Amino acid sequence: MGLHINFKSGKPVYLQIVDQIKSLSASGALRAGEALPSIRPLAEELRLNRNTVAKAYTELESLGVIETLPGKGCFLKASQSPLRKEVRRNLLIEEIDQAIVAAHHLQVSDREFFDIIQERMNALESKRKEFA
Amino acid sequence: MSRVTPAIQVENLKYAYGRADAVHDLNLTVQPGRCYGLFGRNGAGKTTTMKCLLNLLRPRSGMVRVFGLDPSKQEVAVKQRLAYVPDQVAFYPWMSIRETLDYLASFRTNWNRRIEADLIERFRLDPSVRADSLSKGQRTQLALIAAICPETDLLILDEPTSGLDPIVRREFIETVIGAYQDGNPGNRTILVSTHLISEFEGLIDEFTIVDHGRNVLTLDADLARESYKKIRVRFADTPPEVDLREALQVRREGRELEVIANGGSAELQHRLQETRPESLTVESLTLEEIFVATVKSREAQ
Amino acid sequence: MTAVSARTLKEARAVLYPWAGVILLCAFPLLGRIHGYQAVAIISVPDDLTAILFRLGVFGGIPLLACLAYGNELRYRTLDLLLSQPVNRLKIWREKGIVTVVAVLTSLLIATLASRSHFPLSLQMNADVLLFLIVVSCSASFWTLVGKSTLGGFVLNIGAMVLLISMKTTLLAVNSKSGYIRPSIAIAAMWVVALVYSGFMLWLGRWMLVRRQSNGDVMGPDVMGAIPGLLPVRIASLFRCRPNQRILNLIRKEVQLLRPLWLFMTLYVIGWSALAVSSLIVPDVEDKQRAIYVGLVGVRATYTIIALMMAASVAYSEERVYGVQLWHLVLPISIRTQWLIRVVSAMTAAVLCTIAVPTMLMALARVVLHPEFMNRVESLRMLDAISVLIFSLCAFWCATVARDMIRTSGLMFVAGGMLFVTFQVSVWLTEQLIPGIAQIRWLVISRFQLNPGTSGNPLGWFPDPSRYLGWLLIAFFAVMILHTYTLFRRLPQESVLKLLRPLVPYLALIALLASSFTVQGWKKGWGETWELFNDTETAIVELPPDRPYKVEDLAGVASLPDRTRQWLRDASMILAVSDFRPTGMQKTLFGEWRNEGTLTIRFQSGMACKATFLFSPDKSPKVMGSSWTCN
Repeated sequence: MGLHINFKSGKPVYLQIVDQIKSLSASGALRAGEALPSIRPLAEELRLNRNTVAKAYTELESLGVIETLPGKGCFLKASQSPLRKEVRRNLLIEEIDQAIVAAHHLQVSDREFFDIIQERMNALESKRKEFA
Repeated sequence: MSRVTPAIQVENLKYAYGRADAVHDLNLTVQPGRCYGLFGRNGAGKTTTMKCLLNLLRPRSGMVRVFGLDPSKQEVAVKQRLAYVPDQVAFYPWMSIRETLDYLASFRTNWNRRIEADLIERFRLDPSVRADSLSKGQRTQLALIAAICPETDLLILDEPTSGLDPIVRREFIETVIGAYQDGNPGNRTILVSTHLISEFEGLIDEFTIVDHGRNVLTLDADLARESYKKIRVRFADTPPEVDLREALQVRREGRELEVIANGGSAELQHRLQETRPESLTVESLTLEEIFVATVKSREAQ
Repeated sequence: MTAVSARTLKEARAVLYPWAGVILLCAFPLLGRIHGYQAVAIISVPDDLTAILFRLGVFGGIPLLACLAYGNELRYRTLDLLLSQPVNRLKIWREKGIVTVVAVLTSLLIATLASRSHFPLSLQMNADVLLFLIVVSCSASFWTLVGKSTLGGFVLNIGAMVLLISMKTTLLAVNSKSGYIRPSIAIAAMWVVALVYSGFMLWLGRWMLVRRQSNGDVMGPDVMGAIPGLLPVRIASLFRCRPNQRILNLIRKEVQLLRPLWLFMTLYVIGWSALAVSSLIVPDVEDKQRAIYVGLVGVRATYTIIALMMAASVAYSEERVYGVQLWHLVLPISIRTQWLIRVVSAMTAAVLCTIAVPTMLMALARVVLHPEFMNRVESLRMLDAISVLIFSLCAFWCATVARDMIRTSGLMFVAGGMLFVTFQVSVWLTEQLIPGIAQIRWLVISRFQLNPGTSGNPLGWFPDPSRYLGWLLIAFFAVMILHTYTLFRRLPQESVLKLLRPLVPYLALIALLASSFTVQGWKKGWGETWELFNDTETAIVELPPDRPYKVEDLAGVASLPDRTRQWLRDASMILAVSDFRPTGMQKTLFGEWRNEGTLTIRFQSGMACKATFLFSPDKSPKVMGSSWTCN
């Protein structure tokens, strides 16, 4: 699994796992009913405390994102649309925040920023129409 | 709420080599099931503290308890409940790996043969090879096998990965997580003293920084990473004078200012924002950076 | 100071202490003479001890010294560091060689001087010994590099020497019997061969140094390790550790740690047997047989001392070399058990190697060679079983403190010296103090008019230590054994002071013992008796009897010492006289005395003393032999 723990983010490790699994599921990298790696191999791979990973899995289970089938392992639960939507929205918000900060640094005014957005949306739309 | 006996409890430990205090009023509490890091510079008192836990040294004053037992009074009972991997690993050279493990097994009441076989295979060791033909990495692996097989509740590691190649180091940590921790998830306690903090970063639940024999900082790892922040500010011109008294460490370089703070970072951020900098970024510190910042700020005083 | 001389000085400094030790041992016969015999005479067996120490220095110390140059580097693992310096390896070899040669030659010189002194026992420093030392010193560097330690090099060197000497003795004996070559030519040939061999060994050592490759850390394969491979499988499996046999495992480990000792013992057996067998070939000429027997005895004596030291300390040494010296403190088994096993192993190994094996060897020799084998030789007073145990116990104590074979030998020597010095000093001090104490006692008695006791001996009250000596010794050794347990639990110490500190209680004990025996000696030979009663009797016989007198009356008639006068003040004395009628034995002994007097002294405090004596007016002194009681 393409999980990556960032110790510089200030976020508790188990929460990072939870959020990353949620976003993986939201983005479609993990499909419903797919098996997740069990606690021990994931902990070994990420070189994290086993109990941290266990805590993340417990949290995910209580959130209803995953379910544990005894003897078989952990599996992603069927898609929860509102959750997915929430997650997807949050991901986009992160990207947009970064763009806003960049605009400010590059001394692009808010008015100009909106214009650029509109411009780019039109450009992408026309490109899509070209290939349609 | 029932009080669980801490795996390790050290209170006001004092030990001196001759007249110089090696450890002074050290306090340490490790709850069962946790992984505890002991960080400090060379000579800070980490090894001395560990030796007091193993009853290799008799403390001048203070209390040391392992699972509620006093190591100086119930030596064998304490030693049965813990496993120790020293920093200088040595074996009897005439014994093969098999014989060394048999020898060490004879002193333990419990020895898991299956884990032993698994680990020997995982490390690709040949049991018939004599101990004096092993490389340093293989010796450390043997010591780790010998420490995990008795399935003790406490594992004490003293500079376990120093001098080992990156692959062996990774395997070491993976083995501690997998073969040791996973064996009994709630009850396996680890105390590790190391310089390679970044390597053990993911493993550590809680840590103590020891400097000149004293506790300097004791924190939960996640909390520490949350509260220690590094603020990087870049100004259009020379940086103005800002009140940075809550800062742990300040570094100026040209138009840039780097401030490390613990806790009071919100006020600092606010004050720095008011100076209208060109850019301001905030990020958290890794445990190693926290260690360096803490020890350096003490030395500056 | 050039780099060369700086390095050479550093080499010299590294071997300085052992060098001094060896010189001291070789100079022992000289020391005894400087101080005269007075100091030495108090110890019971000075000459034998001196001879043993001297031989130890020459046959043990000098070979050890020769191994030290490389041995020290190997011990502190600095050899590879040294070889990585931008210095030609041959230069290093030469510098070490110079230091070794100087050390050996100076020791040899002093030993020769000492042997020439007028020492009662002959310490032959003849040509054979010289040749032995030459060959040993030249071979030392090679064997040390092969054995990977001072100890290994020493054992291998001595082992090789024993074999060579056996060969040489046998060949010479065969030759003298068969008369093939003229003896003088044979000896000359032997010298030539020996010198060529020495040169070869020197070159071999140089070659080893030049081609030495660093093969990693200390735990590289060593010579000792190859040996178990020679044992048959069935026996070798006895020594393998099993998972459920912890006590047996500990014993197995001890046996393995003692391997250098077993090797040394094997070499002794081979060498001694070869020498013994050579007695068969040698014609039954008085000289040759005796030389062989003396050789056998000498070899056994040297072997015994070294084997005892090894039995006590080699386990500690090996553990230190392998880096496992803290294991006994970390394993989950009681330290007392591990200590007990170590003590018993060391003692058993000592007894086995120094008593059981040589005795069996001797018995075998008697059976195989000749029933009267060695009967005719007045052998050295060999250490018997108890001495062996005592010596190995002391060695074990020192080994537990020092944890290293060379430091143990050093400590034994130093401890012995300190005990000896303490003994002497205590004796001297007591001898100075006794008269003073006696004086004080008399002062007190006379001032306070106390009961002077039943004998004039001021020290009569002192208990006789020799009565309890047996118990004292048993207690002493029991304490020593228990003390080793405390020392066994300690972490290994490095500083010299910390090594010497455990000695202090024993020094105190020796001081106490020395004083007690000195006091006892004084007691026995107490010459001066305060003639309290004698003075009084001499005075009172001048006065008419049956009348109470005061001290002033007595003083008017005879001169009374101040002490007596003090003691008698305000006391009342009466003399009763009767004729002395001796019977039987008394007649012959005391027939000349005419009167028997009974003196009664009554003190103000209520104490009364009664003395009976003989006196005669025509004899001088007038008074004799009083016995008295006071209550």
